[in-house]
Amino acid sequence: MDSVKLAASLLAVAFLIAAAVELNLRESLGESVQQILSLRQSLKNPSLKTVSETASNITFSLQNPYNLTIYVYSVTGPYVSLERPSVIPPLQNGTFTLKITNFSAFESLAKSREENITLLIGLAQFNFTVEVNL
Amino acid sequence: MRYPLTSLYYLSVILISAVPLPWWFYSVGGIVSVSDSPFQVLVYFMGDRLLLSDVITFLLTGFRIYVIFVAIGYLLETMRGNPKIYSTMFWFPVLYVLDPVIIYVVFLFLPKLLGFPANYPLLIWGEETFTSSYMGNQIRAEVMSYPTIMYWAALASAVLYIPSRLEMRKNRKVMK
Repeated sequence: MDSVKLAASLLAVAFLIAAAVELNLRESLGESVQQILSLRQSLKNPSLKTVSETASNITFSLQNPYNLTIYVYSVTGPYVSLERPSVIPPLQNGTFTLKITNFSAFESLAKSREENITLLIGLAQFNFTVEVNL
Repeated sequence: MRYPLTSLYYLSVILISAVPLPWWFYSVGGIVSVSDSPFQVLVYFMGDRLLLSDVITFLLTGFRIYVIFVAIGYLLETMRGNPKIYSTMFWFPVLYVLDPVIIYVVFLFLPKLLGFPANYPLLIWGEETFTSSYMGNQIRAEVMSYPTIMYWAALASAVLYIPSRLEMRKNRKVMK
């Protein structure tokens, strides 16, 4: 190792030690571990709620816990269809409405717990389907 | 000046390592995005900046300072007519295509850590649609991987290393 490399290494190490003390490296390491743990928690928090229900449509409220836009592109299932695609901005609440084409048939399916609908949801550009039992 | 190309190479190394811009951008469906260089990392997960990437960037800043000061020292030595070889900043841009491979390995394990199994495609450069099914549900995402302008600048600087070595060899023969 020549003198230039030695001097550069010493400068880099001096910077790291000074900045680690100044910026409190241990605290930020703790914070970053905490953040990863809390992200793991937030992934298990889907919050879909029924807001209103009439003979012709059901409105759902979806809470977006992420700093990303959520899109509800389509809903397929027996006797239901999505009124229009819905966009839920980051960290906000949004609603989407399902139209019911045949209420009595829908109701009997829902009562026997056989009304399964499939939602096509986009999380930014990450698209996936979810099956929900109404 | 006896070594103009070598001096230019070290000058470009100083500039490239001093500019705090990423070399490569990588995104999985917009839910995970990584922009990095050998001296910095910035990771967004679910739209939130991962604080761990700041800690890693801090350690890499130490390496950045080392590279800058070595390049400054060698530039001064070269201008005095005593050139030295420093090949790190030649190998970094050349081997940087391995970066997506490293990220691929990381993202093979990160989703497992967070509790949802997934497979990601190995993609060096470009855009690819990733499809998968998880518990009967379909998943579809756009995976993106691109070098930035800064990467091309770094590669151009690395190209200068070759004429710089030739120049050193030629001048040594003249001296003998």
